[in-house]
Amino acid sequence: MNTFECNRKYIENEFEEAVWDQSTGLTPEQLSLGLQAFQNGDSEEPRPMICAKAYAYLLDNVQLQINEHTPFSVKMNIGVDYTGFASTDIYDKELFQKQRHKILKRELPRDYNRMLEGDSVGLTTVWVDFWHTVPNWNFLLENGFSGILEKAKKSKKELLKNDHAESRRLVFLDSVILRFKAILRFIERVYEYSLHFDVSDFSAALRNLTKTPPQTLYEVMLFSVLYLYVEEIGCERARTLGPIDQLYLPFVLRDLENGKSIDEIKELFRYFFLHFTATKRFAEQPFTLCGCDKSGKDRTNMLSHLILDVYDELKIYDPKIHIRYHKNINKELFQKALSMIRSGHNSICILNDAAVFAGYEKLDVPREDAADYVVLGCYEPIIMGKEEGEVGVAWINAAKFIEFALNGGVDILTGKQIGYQSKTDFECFEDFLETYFSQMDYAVDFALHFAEKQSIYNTEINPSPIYSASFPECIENGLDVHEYPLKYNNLAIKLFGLATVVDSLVAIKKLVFDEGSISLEEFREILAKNWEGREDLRQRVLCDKDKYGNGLPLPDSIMTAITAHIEEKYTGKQFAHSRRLRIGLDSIDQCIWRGVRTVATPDGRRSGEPVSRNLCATLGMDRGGITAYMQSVLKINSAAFLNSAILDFTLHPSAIEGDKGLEDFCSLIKIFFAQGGFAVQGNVVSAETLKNALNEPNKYSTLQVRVCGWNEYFVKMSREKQELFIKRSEERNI
Amino acid sequence: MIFAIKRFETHDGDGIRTTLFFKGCPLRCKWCHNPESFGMQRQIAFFQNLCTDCGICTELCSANNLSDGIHIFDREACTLCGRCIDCCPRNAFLIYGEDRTARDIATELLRDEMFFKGSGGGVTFSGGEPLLQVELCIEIARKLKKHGVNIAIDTCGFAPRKSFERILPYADTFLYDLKAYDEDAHIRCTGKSNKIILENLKFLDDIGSNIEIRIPYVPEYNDDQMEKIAKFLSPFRNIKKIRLLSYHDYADGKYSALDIQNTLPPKLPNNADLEKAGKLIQNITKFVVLY
Repeated sequence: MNTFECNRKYIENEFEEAVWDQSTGLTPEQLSLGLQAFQNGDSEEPRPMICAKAYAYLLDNVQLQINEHTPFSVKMNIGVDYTGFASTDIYDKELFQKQRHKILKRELPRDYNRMLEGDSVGLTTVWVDFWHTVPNWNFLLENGFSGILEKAKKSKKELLKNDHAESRRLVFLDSVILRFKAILRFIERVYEYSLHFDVSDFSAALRNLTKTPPQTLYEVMLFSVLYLYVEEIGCERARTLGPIDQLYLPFVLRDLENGKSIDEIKELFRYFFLHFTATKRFAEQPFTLCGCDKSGKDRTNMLSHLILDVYDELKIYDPKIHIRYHKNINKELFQKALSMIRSGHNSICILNDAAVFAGYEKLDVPREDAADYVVLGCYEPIIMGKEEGEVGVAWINAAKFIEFALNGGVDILTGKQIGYQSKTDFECFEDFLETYFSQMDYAVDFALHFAEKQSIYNTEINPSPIYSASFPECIENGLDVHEYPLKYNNLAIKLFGLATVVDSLVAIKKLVFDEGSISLEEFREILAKNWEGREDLRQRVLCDKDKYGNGLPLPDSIMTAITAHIEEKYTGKQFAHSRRLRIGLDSIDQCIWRGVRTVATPDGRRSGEPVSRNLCATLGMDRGGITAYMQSVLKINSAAFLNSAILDFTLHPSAIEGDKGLEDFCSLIKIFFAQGGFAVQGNVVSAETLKNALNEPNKYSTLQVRVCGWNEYFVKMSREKQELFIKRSEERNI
Repeated sequence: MIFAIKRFETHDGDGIRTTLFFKGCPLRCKWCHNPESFGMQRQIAFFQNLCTDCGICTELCSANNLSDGIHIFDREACTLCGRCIDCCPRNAFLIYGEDRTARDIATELLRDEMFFKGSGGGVTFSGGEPLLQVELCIEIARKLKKHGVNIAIDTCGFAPRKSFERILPYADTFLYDLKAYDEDAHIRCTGKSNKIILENLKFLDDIGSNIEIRIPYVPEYNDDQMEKIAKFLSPFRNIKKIRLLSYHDYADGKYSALDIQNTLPPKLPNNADLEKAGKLIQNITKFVVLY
């Protein structure tokens, strides 16, 4: 066993198993008390300075731990639950959330209440999105912590020459200076502490990072690890490590010139990736690979290949990988990526450059800028260094508008008037659809109004000097990034549950308006009673062939009408500071917990069940298979949904096995992208899913497995064979 | 009469394909995975393992009854009305067999045209034995050919020579099954002589058809036939590849659902034997053998 394999078990769970050295600082409870003093302290001082001081207090006093088994040795004791790292740390609770609540109650009391009420019925929450940041990694790696501190000092000096310098700019720069000094003190402290351990390379690299920008691959990696720590301890999250095959290549080449071997480079990546596996950040830590430059040339390089090889070998899912596809992508790399997805690496997501560029074009962003996009968070593109994005301000449950349109804006489970008081009698289906749109507009307009108002207080809620300082524009102008000094700024929302919506509208159209077999009044009652006593009707609805996700004309035309409405009314909408509105159609897990508060829907869904996920068909309704599903998704103009229009596909590895299977799999994705598809992520069916299918066969009625040269419906195989198949899948999947 | 259309098939010919399954087969291979293809008439399948004895279907259909809370399906009384399918919350019923027009079928097949073109794929006629319904095959094929769709015919070979001659202008590839070389072995495995099958294959080879041979490997049934099949094939000139299909017994659920006597052989092949057979065939024939 090599060194890495020996060390692996000491790294994978190092955060949960950490034993903190009490002599290195204060406990989280003590820190929490200390932070309260800042929150409740001198209100005359500008907020950025209060936060900077609180931040410095945290870094100066946080307990440390050193793990000798990894080159990324240090950990900070900032809270008990490391699995939620950025969102549950003590700074978040003490400084961010309390402050936000205080400001919104004071400044926007009516709107804030209305927003909270919408949240309570499963409609939406409007967040302050500090959790999707993309720092300018180029600038960071060029300057290092000390370089940025120097630049901030210089900028302040320049500003002071001007007698009319705005105080907010000076305050911003002072807060940057204070924070970066604290960071350097922190690194110095970790360095001193590390001398007690057998981690000499780590110590030496720390020493360098206090003085210079990173010089070697190891220092780049360590810098990135530290940057994530110091950014998120201030309650923000860099939701991508950036295009690491491009960013790290010069350092790798230099290391190789200086005598490092490829094996040593690979070993560093093993530890680097495993660090993120161990951190277990919420929603994982992504990075981007490949893509084309502004002239269409492929950016794939030797490091892209090396990174994929190492990742494949580790069999991990965190960090996660975003691959930028384009028609000239290196064939070998593309095949390798799909082969990895096929073998169970479903944490690889592939975005289509052409669709992303089309999306940017719609926002008047030229190709030469769009070519530098990276992917952050789940699957949202952002132009690193040029675009500030609040990509997750609100996820809006579009299934609620069915409920509101049916019931004059009343939320059935609570009886509250949440939507507007629309009419409840309709002459025809088109009339009903219009009301659906009106309810949607009423809620979306309010969410945008609230987001826009709230963003005025962004810097007061949580100033962002660490993130901001990664942009030369911020340092030179003395502006927080949330005062929008970058070239492009966006505000983005998501609308989800669309398959539930489409299937519901189809059911209403057919049963109420076309056939007239049930009145709208009766339908309302049935849904309010959660289909009780009308299982026959529910089954009839479920068995109907016209379901979204099968490439069928009726449901697809309704989906197109909905997305065209959203596009026309919202995509690219202008806000102050030339912010543009981006829309996404993904749900993350909100489809589950907002579904809990959503009454039964006309598509056969019962009250409390999840609404549909991302752009997927309703569970069990994708009867036509993946090509039919793709055709449904392709009818949506993806260029209007730059904030993601992801296609999740589900295939069993046996459906695409062998060399030919891989070739066809590649063709499938290429054809989807050639037709304008936005992004794909592969849900290669795991043994776990097969087990669920065993227990809940009706939810998995369309799940096909390949048993030899053909497919079978899994739920229709005998129990004994199902179990055998599961066993086989367990053997195949990681 | 067809019984299924499956999209995104990657194992029945080149590229991404849609496979059209014709109902009706002259052979009764002991290991058949598609027992729903045997007869040419519509058939109902009842998957007992999915039934929860909820009784909803018993209110709509006299062929379904509850006896002491247990659901009993009376196949004799079933009129194939399909109401049970519409009402069953667990999808425990399925009717195999649809009488559809060529135009209707072709329209559905053409839905994936962009995937055929982009991947070098097309449509595969399978079954059952598609050539039992050669008129329907030709009618559908004509419509597909107007769109330039590649067509593969997956055949057991047991069809009149005339049927092969008639489908020839439309068939880009024949996926041709060979189960045994010895006639008695073939009869034992499939219930029919293989004379006509071997002759048809020679005919296709002689006229230069594009052929992929498919040999199921079934221990204790045809595993002793590999060498003989290979020797028979070695003089052929137009075989592009041979695919050796490993036998699995996953279809037993369908036999009981259709109330057809299960003839699936109990012994499964192991990989080593399969590879050995493949190498033997490759050495003798010099054709590429795939699995």
